Amino acid sequence: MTKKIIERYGALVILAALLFNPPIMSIFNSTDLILGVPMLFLYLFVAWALIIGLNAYLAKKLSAEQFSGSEREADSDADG
Amino acid sequence: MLSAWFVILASFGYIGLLFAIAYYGDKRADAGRGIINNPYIYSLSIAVYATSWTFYGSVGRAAADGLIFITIYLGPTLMFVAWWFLLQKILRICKTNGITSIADFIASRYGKSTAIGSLVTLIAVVGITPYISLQLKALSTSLTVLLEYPEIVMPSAEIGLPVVSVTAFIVAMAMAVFAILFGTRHLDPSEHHEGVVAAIAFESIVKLIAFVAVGLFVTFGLYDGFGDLFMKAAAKPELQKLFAISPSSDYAQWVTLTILSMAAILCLPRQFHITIVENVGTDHLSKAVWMFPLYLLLINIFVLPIAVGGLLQFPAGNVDPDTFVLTLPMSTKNEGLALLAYIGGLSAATGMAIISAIALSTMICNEVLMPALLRMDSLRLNERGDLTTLVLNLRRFSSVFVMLLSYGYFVFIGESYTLVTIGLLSFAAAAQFAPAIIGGIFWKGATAHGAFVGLGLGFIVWIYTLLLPSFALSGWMPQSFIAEGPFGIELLKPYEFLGLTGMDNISHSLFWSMVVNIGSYIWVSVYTEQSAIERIQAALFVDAEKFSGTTGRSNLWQGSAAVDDLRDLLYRFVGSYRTEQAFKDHARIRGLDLDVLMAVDAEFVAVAERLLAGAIGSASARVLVASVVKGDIVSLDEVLQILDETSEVIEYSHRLEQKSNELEIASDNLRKANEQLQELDRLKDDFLSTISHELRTPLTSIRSFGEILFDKPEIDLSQRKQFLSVIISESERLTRLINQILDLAKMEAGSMDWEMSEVDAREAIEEALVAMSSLMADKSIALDLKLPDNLPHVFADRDRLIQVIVNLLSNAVKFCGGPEPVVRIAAEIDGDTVLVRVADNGPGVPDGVEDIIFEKFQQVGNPLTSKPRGTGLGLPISRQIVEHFGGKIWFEKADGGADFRFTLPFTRNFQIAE
Repeated sequence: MTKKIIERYGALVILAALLFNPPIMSIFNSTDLILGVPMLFLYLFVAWALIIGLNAYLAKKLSAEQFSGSEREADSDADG
Repeated sequence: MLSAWFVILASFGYIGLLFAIAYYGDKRADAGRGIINNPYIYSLSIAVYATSWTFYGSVGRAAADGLIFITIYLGPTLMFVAWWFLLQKILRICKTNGITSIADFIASRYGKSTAIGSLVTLIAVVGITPYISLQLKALSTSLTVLLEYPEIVMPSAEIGLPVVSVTAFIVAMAMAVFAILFGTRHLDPSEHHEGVVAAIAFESIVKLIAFVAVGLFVTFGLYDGFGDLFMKAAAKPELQKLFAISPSSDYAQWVTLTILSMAAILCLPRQFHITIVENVGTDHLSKAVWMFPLYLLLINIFVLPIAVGGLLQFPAGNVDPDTFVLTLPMSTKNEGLALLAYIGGLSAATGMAIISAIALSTMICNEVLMPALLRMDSLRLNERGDLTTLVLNLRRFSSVFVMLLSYGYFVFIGESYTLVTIGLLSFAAAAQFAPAIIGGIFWKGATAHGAFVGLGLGFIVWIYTLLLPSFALSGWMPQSFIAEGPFGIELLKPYEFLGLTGMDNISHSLFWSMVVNIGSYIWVSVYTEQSAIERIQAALFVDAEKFSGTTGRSNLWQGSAAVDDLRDLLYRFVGSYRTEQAFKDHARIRGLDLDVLMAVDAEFVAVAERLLAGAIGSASARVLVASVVKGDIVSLDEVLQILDETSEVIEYSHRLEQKSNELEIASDNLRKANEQLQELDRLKDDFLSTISHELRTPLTSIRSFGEILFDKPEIDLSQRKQFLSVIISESERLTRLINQILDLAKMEAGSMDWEMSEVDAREAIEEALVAMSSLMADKSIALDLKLPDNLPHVFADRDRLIQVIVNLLSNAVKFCGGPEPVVRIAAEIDGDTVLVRVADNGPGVPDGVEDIIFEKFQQVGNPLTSKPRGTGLGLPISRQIVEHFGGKIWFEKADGGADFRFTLPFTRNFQIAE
């Protein structure tokens, strides 16, 4: 299970690197205002918050297994 | 309110508060109730990353280039997302090996090399000094601007007010004093400074509150929310362009800065110190990996709003955007907020300066001064008494040295450069460590030569392409150095080295320094050999997972040392208390008696070395331990063997664990199988006893009537006939029973001969009815038959199918009752099966036995009181047959009476089951 979460981490790192860099980022590189704020500004902060949220979720799972030592408990937790 | 004396007083009041917090933190730690042992304080302390560069400089950058400033914070976010692959491993290595600084880490990895430790320290000092001076510059600028209140005047190129430069100097020295007081209180092998960390966490809160307060003020005080602010800015083309970044030049810079800041969060000495060295619980990291990025997100939300707000408020361009955080509240006479902004900037600056001073002074002392002094035989340092004071004084001296150096840089050069440029200069210097660190923890083959040459050449390129040009820009060197190249050689122009153009200065420098750094690191590594100790250290670092949790693994001492020698050595550096504690702990684990122990073995020496390394760095510790250990360092082969054995033992115990798990599972299975066998055994006994009972009943009657006939020949004919008919019917019952038992046994054993073919279900039902018709007529039972004409064919054994229907029918006939007995038979199509129902209006099946009526010999009713009305095998046999045909049979509760149903799949869907 730990291995699985680490693999998910790998996927998250790739996602974050994609979101924070051109060319994905450049899609939103416009001076238009969306909801009253610049589009790129809005995009970057939303993407940023998303990545932080996913990181928090995975880190919690991972540390539950790494540091509590009760791997089975965390297992069922992860599936449930 | 904002008079000069009040602002100065507030500044020193704030710094006094820091001292108080640090003092309190240390007191609590001494009392064993540390306040920093939680992930929140840890995360806040990592936010020392946000310096005055963030506080003032980000706004300045945003005002010039728009959102590109954010890359400096996205990089660390990325690195913290990838924490499991890098930070976690580094943290683990450092905890296992007692690493005290980034220089110690790199030196330790490459064979505890003093040369590499010194080089890293040199790069760090040269690279970070401008960064610290940047904090002093920010402080002096903000103070100058604030002191001009209510006017808004930009400081001139020279340092204007004497009170400002004096204040900057006093603050610099206060930081040095702070670092000395709380960073060098005692020589702590774990290198934890609880008071400092508490103060830094407090500073992080202050700067966040101050910045967000200014942001809210600009966005919602000066303007009517984000929409209003951005709408007004969008009306001006020169402001609107800040909303996006220019694709032509800035994408490359975007990527460069992201990579650079990723390297920085790992490689800046102060970040390494606060994240790795000051970490008091490895599990804190897993919380900090999202809380620290969240902090960065929060402090960055208002950067762009403040920047465009400032540009809108000061359209004339006479106010430096670097000061917007301060000048915006000032321009609206918001004195309290201006002071808060200034204090926020002060907290950002002091936090960075304190941790940098501590980290750098530790490096200077442990990696450069101590090894050098220890090697100077003329000093006879090894023979002197308590050296703790010497080490601490060296660190204190180093702290002052670092702050003085920074102040000097600030005075002589700092004024000509904007905040961002100096910060990036330092980032690029710190990034030089990245190849040696990342390569060092993943590539065992990297050698000390490779690391040394890579670091050295990368550093030289950095000096040439960034530091020297910055000197030239400041007037220390001729400007022609940049414009025409040294001695007019165009190819060597520092910003366009070898004619490489089209890149900004930072990208250009990063590219060349990394090409040289990584290139020589790899090439030299693959062409040089590792020494014994390098190979050991490489294994310890790269395979950290294997060795974590074990101490003293770098067991490279052979022979022994006298306990007293070792004890004396440790006393001098870590004090008697810690030494005795460590000795006792180790002796207890090993079961040794310290009182009678004269000489200690290699493992004991390794423990001592580790303790020493925590206090003065691994390079120094090695030199010292070598002086008291008798015998040589073990040979490479022996050490590798030890390492191999260790990993083999670990591997072996792993396998053992696996094996025992497998065994457990196997024995579990065996137990289950055994239980099953016992159950089967019980069933067999039940079966035999039931069957013998069932067989005996008819046999008994046959035998008794036979005996009567035999004994009494005088019985009259009619009675004789009656007796004989009983004998015949009981014989028939017996035959039927035996046939059924045989059938069932055959079916269960799978040796039944099935004659499977396409069968017309309707015909089979009718045939069964014919067989039963006379019996039904005898009992005057009505028949309710519902058979559709177009029943599809089923795949079955015709005779067996009839047997099933007859079984069910005879049950129904047996049990139906009442004044108007009736049996209902119906067949219909249900999905892809034919559903046959046989129901009666008898007493039905009592509750609770629906499941067992299909078991063998289970008859409804009490077998002791009522005469059995069947063999108890009809339903089990029917079930066997129907299931063999691929259908199922079950009982359904009906109002008054029993309702048996079974299904048979159509021919086209039917597949031969066996």
